[in-house]
Order: sequence, then C-alpha cells, then structure tokens
Amino acid sequence: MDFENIEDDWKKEAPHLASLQRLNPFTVPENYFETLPEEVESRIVLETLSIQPNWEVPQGYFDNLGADIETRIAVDRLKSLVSNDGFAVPVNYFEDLQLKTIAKTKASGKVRFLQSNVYRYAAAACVTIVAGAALWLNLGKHPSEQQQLAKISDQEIMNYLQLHADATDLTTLVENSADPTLGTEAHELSTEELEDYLSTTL
Amino acid sequence: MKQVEDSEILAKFQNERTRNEAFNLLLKKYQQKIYWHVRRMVIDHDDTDDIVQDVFVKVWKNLENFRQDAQLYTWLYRIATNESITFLNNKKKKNNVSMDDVSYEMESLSTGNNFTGDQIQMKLQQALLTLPEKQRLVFNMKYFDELKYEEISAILGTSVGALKASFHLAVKKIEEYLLKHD
Repeated sequence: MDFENIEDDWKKEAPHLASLQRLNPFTVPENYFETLPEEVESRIVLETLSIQPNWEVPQGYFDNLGADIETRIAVDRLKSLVSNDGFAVPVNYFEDLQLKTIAKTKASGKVRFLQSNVYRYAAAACVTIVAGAALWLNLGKHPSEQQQLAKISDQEIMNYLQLHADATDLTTLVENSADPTLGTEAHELSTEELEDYLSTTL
Repeated sequence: MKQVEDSEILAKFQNERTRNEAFNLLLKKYQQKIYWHVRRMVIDHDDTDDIVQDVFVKVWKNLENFRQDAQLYTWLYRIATNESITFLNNKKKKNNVSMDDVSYEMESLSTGNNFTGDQIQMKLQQALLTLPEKQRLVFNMKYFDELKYEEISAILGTSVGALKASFHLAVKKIEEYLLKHD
C-alpha cells in the first residue's frame, strides 16, 4: 500500500466503493437552513438570560413545589370534569340587578349610609365598657362614708361621743339608728333610771 | 456569490456594533458544512439540529477569544466533532450500552424520514456504522467532505500518517462489508 499516493490508491483497493456515486442520501426539513440562524440566535439569547447570577428563591420553595404542582394538576383535572358549580341564574340577572338597585334607592329618597352599622354599635359598646370599668374602679378606689365609718370600732365612737356629744345628740342618734328597738327601750326605763341619766349628762 | 473571508468575519466580530452581523455571516458560510459533518455521525436530523445549535452557541461564546492560530473552519469542525462524539457517548451511557454499540444510529437510519437513499447507499451507511468512531470521522471528512489530510489533521489532532492509515483501513472494511452483503 503506497500511502504517498493513497489519494487514488484506495480506489484500486476498493473498486465497489469507488464505483458508488457520492450522493447525499439524507433528508433535511424544508427551509431548515433558512431558519437555522434564527434558532441559533434564540438559543444564544436564552443562554445569556440563564447566566444571570444570584436569583433568589423563597425558602422551602423547592420542598413544596412538587405538592403545589400536584395540587394544581388536581384542580385543573377537577375543573375539566366540573366546569361550574351548577347554580342557575336567570338570564340577564346581573345586568338588571344594578339598575333595580339604583331604582330602589331613588324611590325611597333616603340616604343610606354605605358603611355598615356594625362599626357604630361596636364603638358604642366600647364606650360603655370603658365607662363601666372606670366607674367600678373609682368605687373601689374611693370607699363611701359609710364604709369608712364601719371601719371605726365601737369603743372609738363611744370615746368620741363622751368628749364631743351634748344633750341634743341623743335625739339625733336615736332617729338615725338602724336599731328599731332603741326608741322602745327608752319607754321601758324607770323614772329612777331616767333621773340618774339626766343627772350625769347635764 | 462570493463568500466573505474569515478574516473579515473575525474583525467584525471583535467590534460590538458589528458582532451580530459577523455572526450571521459566519452562520451563512458554515452552517451547512457543520450540519452535514454532524449529521453523518449522528444520522438523526433532530439530534443533529440540537448539536448544531450547541456548536454555534459555543462559537458565539468563544469566538472573541479565538486565537487565530488555526483556520476558523478547522476550529468550527473541531467543536462540531467533539460535540458529536460527546453526544453519541452520552446516548450510549444513558442506554447502558457499550461505546462500540451502534444500535441507536442503526435505528435512526432505518426509522422516520431520515433517509431517502437507495439500497446500496443504505448498505454504505450501515458499513460506516461498523467502523470505530474516529475512523468513521476520518472517512467522512475525506470521502464526503473531500478535506485534505492536513486539514483533517488540524481538526482531529492526529498526524497525517495516522490519518492515511486510518482511511485505508476504513476503505478496506467498507469494501468487505459491501461484498459480503451484496
């Protein structure tokens, strides 16, 4: 085999092969080479975009992605089986509704608050609660005169009366006493007892 | 129609304003050559389309750094060759078959609209598939592309002498196959 003249030498070695026409037996889709440059350029643009660094992904995104996709598929499947909720609505209902509503408001002549009354009731309830709480707290902080007097012992009261009371106080005491029998006891006292009392207090 | 010179393409590519124009010129000049070079290796059009696009995307990314110590087409062929071999090897790994297995290419040859040649042309392609990959490459570039041994040497990085021997062996095997299946 003469490698130096191999250019034509092989034809002698392989006459069958040499006899074949060098035809292209492969097919190519129509206009393939006309569109190839555009395809390549699109690829280049896509590759350039994919090089963008530091895209942030929410934490756990990929962990939930599978489940989210499955849910979405299930929802789509369900929607394909059940396209609507089945409720029927009269023809042109929504078109007429607006007109009817407006007509009603004009007929009543009333100005209706667009806001719900809920907010006003809630505000009133809050004020009531706050006022009641304040009142209750004040009662607790400033006890009544009667509560204050109840704290004083009987002996202290006796000592005060001995020092500061006079003859007119007896009547006042009896009148204001809660004990209904106090006045009656006076009628049960003997004359001698009364005289003794009068002699010590006057 | 006069083809634009590689030097002009490279000069225009260096300028950002004319870069797209340069790339379009490059595509028009080389897309068919690269396509057929790949197609003869992988057989299937869709596979070829993917590989060709990969090749030119790589060219776009790296042409700026092309040192011009080789011819432009040599560089393009080298990229296309590497992409084709990588594709075929990956396919075989994915299908869990040996690197010598050519059943995927055989199937591409016989199915779909890939092939419109006659019986003898089919036999030739089948004979080619029996060759080792590098040998098939050498044969394709010499027989179909009619490249010189020096050009093939620059593309494959193999000496001219080794290429001549490889081509000779390829021719012998093909002839035997054609006679055996006549």
